[in-house]
Amino acid sequence: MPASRAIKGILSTGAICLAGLVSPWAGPSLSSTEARPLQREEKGKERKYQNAAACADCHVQPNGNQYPDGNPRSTKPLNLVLLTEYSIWKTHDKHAQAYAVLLGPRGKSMGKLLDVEDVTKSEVGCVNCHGMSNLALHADEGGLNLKDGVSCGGCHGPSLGWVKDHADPSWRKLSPAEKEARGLTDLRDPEKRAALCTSCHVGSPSEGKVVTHAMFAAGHPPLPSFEVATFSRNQPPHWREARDVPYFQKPSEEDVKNFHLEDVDFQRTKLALVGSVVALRQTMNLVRERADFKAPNPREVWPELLFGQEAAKVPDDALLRKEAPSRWPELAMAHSDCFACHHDLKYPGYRQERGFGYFLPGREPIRAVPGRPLVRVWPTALPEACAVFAGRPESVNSLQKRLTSLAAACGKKPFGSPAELRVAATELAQWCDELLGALKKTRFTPESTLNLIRILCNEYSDLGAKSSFEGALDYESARQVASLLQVAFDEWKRSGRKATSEAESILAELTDPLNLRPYNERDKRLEIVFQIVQKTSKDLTKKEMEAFKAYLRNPGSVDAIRNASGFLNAVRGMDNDVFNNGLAKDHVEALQDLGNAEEKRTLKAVANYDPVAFRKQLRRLAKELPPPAK
Amino acid sequence: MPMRWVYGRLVLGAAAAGAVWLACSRTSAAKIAPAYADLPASHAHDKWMGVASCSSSACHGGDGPTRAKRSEYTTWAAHDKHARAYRVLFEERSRRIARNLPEPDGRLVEAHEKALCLKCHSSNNGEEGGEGSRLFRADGVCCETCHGPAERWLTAHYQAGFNEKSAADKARLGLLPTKDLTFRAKQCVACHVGNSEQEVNHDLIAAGHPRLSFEYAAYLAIYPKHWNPADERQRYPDFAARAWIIGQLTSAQAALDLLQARAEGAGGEEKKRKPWPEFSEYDCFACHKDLKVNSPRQLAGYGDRQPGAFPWGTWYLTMPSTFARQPGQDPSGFESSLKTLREEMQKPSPSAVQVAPKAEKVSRILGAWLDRVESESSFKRSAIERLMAGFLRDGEARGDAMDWDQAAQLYLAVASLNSGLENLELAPPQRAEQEEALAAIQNRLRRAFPPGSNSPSCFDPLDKPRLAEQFKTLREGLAK
Repeated sequence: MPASRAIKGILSTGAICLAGLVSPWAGPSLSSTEARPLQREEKGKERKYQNAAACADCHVQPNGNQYPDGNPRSTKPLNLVLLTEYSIWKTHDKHAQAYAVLLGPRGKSMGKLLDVEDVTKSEVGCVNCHGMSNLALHADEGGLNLKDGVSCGGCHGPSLGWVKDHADPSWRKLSPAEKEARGLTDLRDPEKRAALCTSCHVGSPSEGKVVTHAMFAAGHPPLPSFEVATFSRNQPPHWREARDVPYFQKPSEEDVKNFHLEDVDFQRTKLALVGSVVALRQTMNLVRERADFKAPNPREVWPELLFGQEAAKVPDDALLRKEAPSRWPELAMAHSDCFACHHDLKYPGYRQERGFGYFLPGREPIRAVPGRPLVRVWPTALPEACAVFAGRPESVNSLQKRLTSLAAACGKKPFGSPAELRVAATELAQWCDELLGALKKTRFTPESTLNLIRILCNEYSDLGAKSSFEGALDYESARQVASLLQVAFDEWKRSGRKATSEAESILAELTDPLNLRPYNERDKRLEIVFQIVQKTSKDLTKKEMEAFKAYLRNPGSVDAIRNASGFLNAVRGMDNDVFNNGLAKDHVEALQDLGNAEEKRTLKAVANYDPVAFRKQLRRLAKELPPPAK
Repeated sequence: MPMRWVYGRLVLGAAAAGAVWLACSRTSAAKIAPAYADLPASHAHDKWMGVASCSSSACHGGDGPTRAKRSEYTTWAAHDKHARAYRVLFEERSRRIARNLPEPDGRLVEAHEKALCLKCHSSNNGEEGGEGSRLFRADGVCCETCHGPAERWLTAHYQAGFNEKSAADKARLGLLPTKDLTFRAKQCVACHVGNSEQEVNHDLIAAGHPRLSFEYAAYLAIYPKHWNPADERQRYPDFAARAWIIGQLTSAQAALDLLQARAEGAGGEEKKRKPWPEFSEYDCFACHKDLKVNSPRQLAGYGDRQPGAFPWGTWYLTMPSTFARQPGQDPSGFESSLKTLREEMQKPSPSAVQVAPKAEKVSRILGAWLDRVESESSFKRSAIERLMAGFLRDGEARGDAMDWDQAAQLYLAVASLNSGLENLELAPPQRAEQEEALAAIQNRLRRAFPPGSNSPSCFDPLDKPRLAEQFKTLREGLAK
């Protein structure tokens, strides 16, 4: 295949397509039944994205005037925000390294295997997730610096229309809708936040965000199961939990509405629950959009159709739409369960012992044809518990029915019938919308949260199972369950309830086998970041960085932030290009090594996963919970 | 050390690794050796008489030692797994398969009642008896499955003069020419490779059935024979080598006919539609492996394949390709036709419409090639040695990039040809060295499967000594 693949061809026609069709919104907060963002092109010069540099002025480090004054309800900035957001993101958050990894050995070898000269070119599509290139076309003058990776605007929205006003105390009085009209995404709304995260972490083909089977085969790590609350904690957060924010201590009714403070003590649990339903919806959107052979923007939806094409022969959109059906099994692999196929064969393996299908707890298995992979299973692990928690157990019947249709569509032929999948996925996404509506109205209390924990333990343990394999969960589904359990348990405990030490240790035991730890080579990554920051601040000491790390453990403390000022000064003085080049050139191999170590750990956890042991752990946990009130 | 031991153990190892262990064969009138091409298909309607018609102690149920004449039934009943073919359908694994694999209408049917299973695991599709017949499913794959339904020859075959009849005349009565190596191979592949009517596809494997990976010569070597191998070697002085060649070509042809049937069955009416793409056509372990960071496959690149497309034909088409490249073979058009078929099959989404005629073409070429090979007189020692040396040179050249399937096929080829030399009683004096070198490769192939695993996840041709070096050692031993 000639190396000069489709790039030019795509450029000539595709860039226009990108410009015209890709939403200026990073995060579709739309329900599945609404039109996709493609049709919602926003006009107006104020809806423009800005570089992170525009935020750095204020969000690197607070000054003395901004410190709290003892009155939590005063409008002192630190009563509400941290003003170190940029520094945390830049130094701790892997989103800031998203672009640099493309330049590393893996990015290069992927490009070679996929016959793509330069994976950082926006037409190739990698940077849609790794550098927000799909937003760059809606950037302020000078464009977006893709090298910043996933930066502020990617999540918070186009800022030109609000950057001047949002520091004004009156801004706090605006409703989320009013803020959104100016371009600020309402990330405090769990549904919107989860939709935003999953647009990359699950995929959003119409925005050009999809990892194809060819990309995986070329070396893209498997997209892990995604539980928003745990991933947010691991990010790490550049914000405080609402319960820890001084300004939210005695909120007015208006504040409660504007800042979504309804369940202030259980915000993470709520995020995890809502996020799990959103992840299912997003997965169904992935299926639906890729199985729709009338896709308005085939280049974004099916990037694999372009790989390996000679520049001169890149078909036009109409031809791509015509080709797509003949590429079906390949297209379907992007939404399929990786580990359904990719495992060492065991005789007999738990899959054969258990049978194949979707498994809703306490119900007849939804059987699938053996050997015909299903749409990713993990997003189906938690919504059932969500429905029960939201007081809508009857809707599980409907979930069962729709999953049955989905399984049937998958079984029609290997990797399923696209037409039937499209219908089944649309119906499941609608179910998610209905449940999200119900979840919004559900209030969280310590009792209801404990009950949620009970539901999970009882449903997914081997209690009452006829055999040790009946209904056993796959690795990624178990990871979802464990993740939610840890989040809910933590908040239940923090609401003043006492847990047994045995319960704590069982939950801790789940962490390593299911790989739930914050990314495990973080200290080594920080070491690299430290070296880069030190380039422009020669006097910076390790001690000063340690002080910043200590601050992150206690971001509300004025003393801690004063102690961290040495490091924050260095971040302020840092040249952004020096930093990005440091990541992308000097340390790119070291970063790759760390990435490899993390991936190795993940894959080892998948290979060593023991479904029987997991069920036993949940049974043990169930016994440690306080009995339900009579 | 008899070579039988060497590859016997490998085949057993492969059985644990998902290769089939169960044998069965049925006649397919359309696919018989050319020598018997005029064999009438009438025996397909003959009545099955059942093993009880053969097992009288005065006939084939004697109490002689294994392989003794007149104790054929006894040998089969005591040692031959074919006799247990039906019984295994009651075992846990079969029950699990039946649980996992509902009928097209969604009903769950026990394995021992399932039409799909009975096709190979019993005789006559599981249809018992009839008037005057003593055929039972419980007898599994029985005498008549290979020798032909006995209605018209049962009484005749112990009458005076029957033995003097030609094989073709006997065949006309329905007694099939199983002494013919090619005919026999075609009988075996009907179940062990499969055909349009009976196949082990990916659905069935996923439900729990072992993968089929048939190798005729190796299976014959470990088969508990109810005949005297010495007689056989008299018919075929080059027995093991000839069996290997015939087996390879016959199996490859059967695999291609099955591929054609699968491709043609991919369209058509929904109830009978065959799955497409059919994953059992591909190297199982290309997908079925625990994922690794920077896996050897990724590092090596995927050759002609796009990343994420699967390697095809690694079991049945590996050695015919190598064989075709040997001097004097040159089956015209084989390599080029196979190449275009392979290119289509190795697209990420192969087109069934394209594949069917391409598979048919390669099968046709293979058929003509088989006819030619069959008509050749017995292989001389020098010819077998040349072939072995050629194969081993190929192993040296490609060894570093071989997957388990390819390495195992090459090993089995060399082991069979080595046995062929033994058959000619012309084994080279340094046989012990050769056996040792062969055993080392065999060990490598068996050790590739970690305990409890059915994927050869420990197979790395680059581990020292490299696989290519091991083939080199063997070749150098041969040249001495």
